[in-house]
Amino acid sequence: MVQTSGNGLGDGIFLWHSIVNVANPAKGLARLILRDDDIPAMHPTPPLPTDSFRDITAEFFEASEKLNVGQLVKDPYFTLLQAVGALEARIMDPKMDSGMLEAEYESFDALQPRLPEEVVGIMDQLLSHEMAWHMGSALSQTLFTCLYIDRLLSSSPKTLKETTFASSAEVEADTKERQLLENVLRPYCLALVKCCYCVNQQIMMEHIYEEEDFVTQTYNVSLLDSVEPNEVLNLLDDALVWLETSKDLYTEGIFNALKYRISHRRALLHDLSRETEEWHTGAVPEWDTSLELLGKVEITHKLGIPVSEAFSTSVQRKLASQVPPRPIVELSFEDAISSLKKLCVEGKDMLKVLKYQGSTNLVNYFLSFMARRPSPSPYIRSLLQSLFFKDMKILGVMSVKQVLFDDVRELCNPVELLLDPRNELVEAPHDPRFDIVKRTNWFVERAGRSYLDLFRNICQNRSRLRRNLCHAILDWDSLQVESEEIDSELRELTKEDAQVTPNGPSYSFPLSSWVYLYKLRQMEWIILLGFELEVYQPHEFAGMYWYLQHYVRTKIGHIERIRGFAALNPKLSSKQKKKKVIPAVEQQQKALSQLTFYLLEASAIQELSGAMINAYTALARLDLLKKPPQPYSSDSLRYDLRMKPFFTIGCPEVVPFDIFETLVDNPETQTLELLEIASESITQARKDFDQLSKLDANTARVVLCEDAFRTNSREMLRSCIGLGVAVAVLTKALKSPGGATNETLDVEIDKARYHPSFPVPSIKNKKQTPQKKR
Amino acid sequence: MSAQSTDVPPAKIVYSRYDSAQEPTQLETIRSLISSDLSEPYSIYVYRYFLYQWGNLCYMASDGDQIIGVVVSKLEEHRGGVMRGYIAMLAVKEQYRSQGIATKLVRMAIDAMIVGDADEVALETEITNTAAIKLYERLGFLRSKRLHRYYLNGSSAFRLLLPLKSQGIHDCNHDEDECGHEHEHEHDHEHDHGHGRECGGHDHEHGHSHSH
Repeated sequence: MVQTSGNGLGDGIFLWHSIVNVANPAKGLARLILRDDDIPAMHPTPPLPTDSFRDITAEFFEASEKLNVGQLVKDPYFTLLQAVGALEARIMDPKMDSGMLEAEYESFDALQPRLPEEVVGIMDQLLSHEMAWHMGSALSQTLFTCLYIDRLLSSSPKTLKETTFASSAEVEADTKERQLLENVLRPYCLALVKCCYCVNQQIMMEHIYEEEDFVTQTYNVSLLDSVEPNEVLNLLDDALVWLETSKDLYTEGIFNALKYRISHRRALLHDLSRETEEWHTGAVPEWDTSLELLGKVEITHKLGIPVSEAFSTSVQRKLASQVPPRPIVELSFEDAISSLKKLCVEGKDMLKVLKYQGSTNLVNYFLSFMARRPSPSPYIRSLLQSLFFKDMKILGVMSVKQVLFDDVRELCNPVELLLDPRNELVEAPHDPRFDIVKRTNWFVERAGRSYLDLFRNICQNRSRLRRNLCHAILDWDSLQVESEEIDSELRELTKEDAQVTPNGPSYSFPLSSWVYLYKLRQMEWIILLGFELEVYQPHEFAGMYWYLQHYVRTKIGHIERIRGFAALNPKLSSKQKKKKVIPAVEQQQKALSQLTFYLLEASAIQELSGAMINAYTALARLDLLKKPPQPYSSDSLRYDLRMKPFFTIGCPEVVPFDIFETLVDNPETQTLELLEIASESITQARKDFDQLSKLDANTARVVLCEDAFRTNSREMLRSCIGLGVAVAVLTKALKSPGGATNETLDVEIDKARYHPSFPVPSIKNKKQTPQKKR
Repeated sequence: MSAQSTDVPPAKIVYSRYDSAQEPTQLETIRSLISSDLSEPYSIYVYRYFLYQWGNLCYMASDGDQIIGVVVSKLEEHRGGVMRGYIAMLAVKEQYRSQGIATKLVRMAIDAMIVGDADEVALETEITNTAAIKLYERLGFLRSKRLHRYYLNGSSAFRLLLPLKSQGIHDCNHDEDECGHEHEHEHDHEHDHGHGRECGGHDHEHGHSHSH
């Protein structure tokens, strides 16, 4: 009987006449029937009412007779995605049918005596599998291939008591070997499973891309969901006690190896099982203990003997029967250790954010944390999101409004009246403060969402970050327009005086100014990430650096405008400034210093990108950068495609292609002159970066991530220096009789040694073809 | 036809459009050509999906009566109303590579898409597959985005795009696809845990095999 409703067979099987592809269709169907009855123990499927079934085998064959081979009967909603997921009737083909795998898990004897060295080996293999899963592989290709784990979980245990290595009705033989398995390996496995449970729960709580970053799928296998972490921690303690009492059974090395592994697992589970609230309320982490023990695990790894027969893909036959068998993911022990060490380091590091040091420091921490290479793991990225924002609170204690207003104040220093918390106490509707609150609350609601999204986006993988930013800038663009309106209304309510400028009266527009700056920064990040992710090709570099410079210049203009207004509040006589209003003055000084910092940083990047434009344009002119032909497309069409994310942004606008081309190619300027200008820009950029790198952490607002800031500054400086060398070599070659051509020079783009967003051309003189030899 | 030694380049490669009448004899060959480059074979539905609907965009290269190269594509309206061609699979038998056969096949598919009024052509390729990336970049394709861990084996992809026509740059849709859609993917726990990443676990489009 073929099911007409039911258990996850791809829709496609009934839509397409593909059964002809099977050597023996009847056999295939027979197999389907068989497998229905043969639902494995790990899938406790409730019995289905039998009256919902109808045998359609005959009808099915009759209908399929009417189709030609290859003919498609397709529902319009049947997508490619579904086609890909559809089960192919290639049953009995061992490559495609995981049901064909021999069920090794059935014959596996989990209580077969093992050498203690083998137990150490299994634990280390498990660690590799665990980390492979952390890094994005499915459980079915990692931990679940372990037959010990399978034995413990396949009976769907609800309590720890029910987790056993013994298959049913086995006589208890109390040998030392068996005790080692029961008292050490079993607790280790259970704790590992519980760790996975915690990691999975955490990841499901936040925004992480399923299957792309991480696979949360557990194939209906409970990861000891109903067991409390504490019970498992106690089990580990018992394991340690047992080990102590059995010390004389083992060599010192093996004893220690086992002890380190259990202790490490204990420390790890301890931290992984923490609720976010516990971190918020000052839980003391054990990440350092984990790290230290991990070092000892690493050293004792060589004592272990791996047991390959303890792992088998055959488990997939009951886990994911709709997909072909997939190989076990092999992650080396060294890689597993280093990624787990990284996890511990980062898990500890991120707790710094809980000590709030102002919003700018917080944003900078996120930016630098996520720029780490290699990127933080999905678990860590998820945990950081939870630490930052949970249950409508930022860092467990602050409202979105508090942090958002801090951010506006730190940047724009608006008149005190605008964001004064006392405004909210005003109940009289005719009081302007009442109306101010109405509007600022709207802003918190609207901008708060975008602000939280910004943090969340920063926690995504780099490729996603760039893609999400392309969406986000549209949101910030409309937010800017909306906020400008609110600003206009607010300036009436705060009775803001116009500043007289040569272009007429001017107002501060604090909220929309704040929005605009964030929008510009995100536009800038999109370009920077384009370089980092190698989305841009060398022939596009000059143009993309031109845009980077364009956005940074716009930002400079905008910061200067903000600074002009920030300097006005509070309006005090010098006498007053010395007196009581110190907080307001301090606030102003802070904002001004931050703006000065931003200006310095922007100036540095502006100069460096300017140098990049000229250097890459010179290389293109000299035909030293290969620009691919385009039999189908044109520069202008490709420009449209490249600038697509920015086309709908109101301000700054995308420059028309012909103007852009002239600006980048700069045909009026001689090549040597371009290089001279580049070299001057490099000198200036170096000065700026030098200055930046000498700033103290407070001024740079990097109190939470000073090291990363220093590293970044160093990489920037290195790009400046590298580019300086390239420009010098090119200039020299250009002036030499041989000239700068493909015959005399080798040009390669060096991404490795420089800042990821500022790759430098490495230009080398070609060696004269040796005449003497041969 | 005389037997070809694998070392000697064949004298003549014949290119032809896929003919659905030949499916019983050709599909298996096409499948095995493409599968040899994949970590996991596509199901028959994936081939049928393309060949039945867009057989006119599928081209084969043959040496005598042996198919040694194939390109499989589709062309349909994409989000935002753009006619997007999509090169789903491209494969050339190893000993026939570096002779421009793949390029020729791709060009035939693009030409057919242009006849079908395509606005652009898209595809994904593994970021380490420099040969394929070069091939497409020489045809004017641009990397539009990077896709993290796109393939089943965990490696990332570039989406490559070839703009064929000016597409009016007014409203919506600054992103080439996913517009407003991708956020729905965050925790797709109901997700059928079967299909391969290669086939676009998130992009609803499908991977790309290697070529030279």
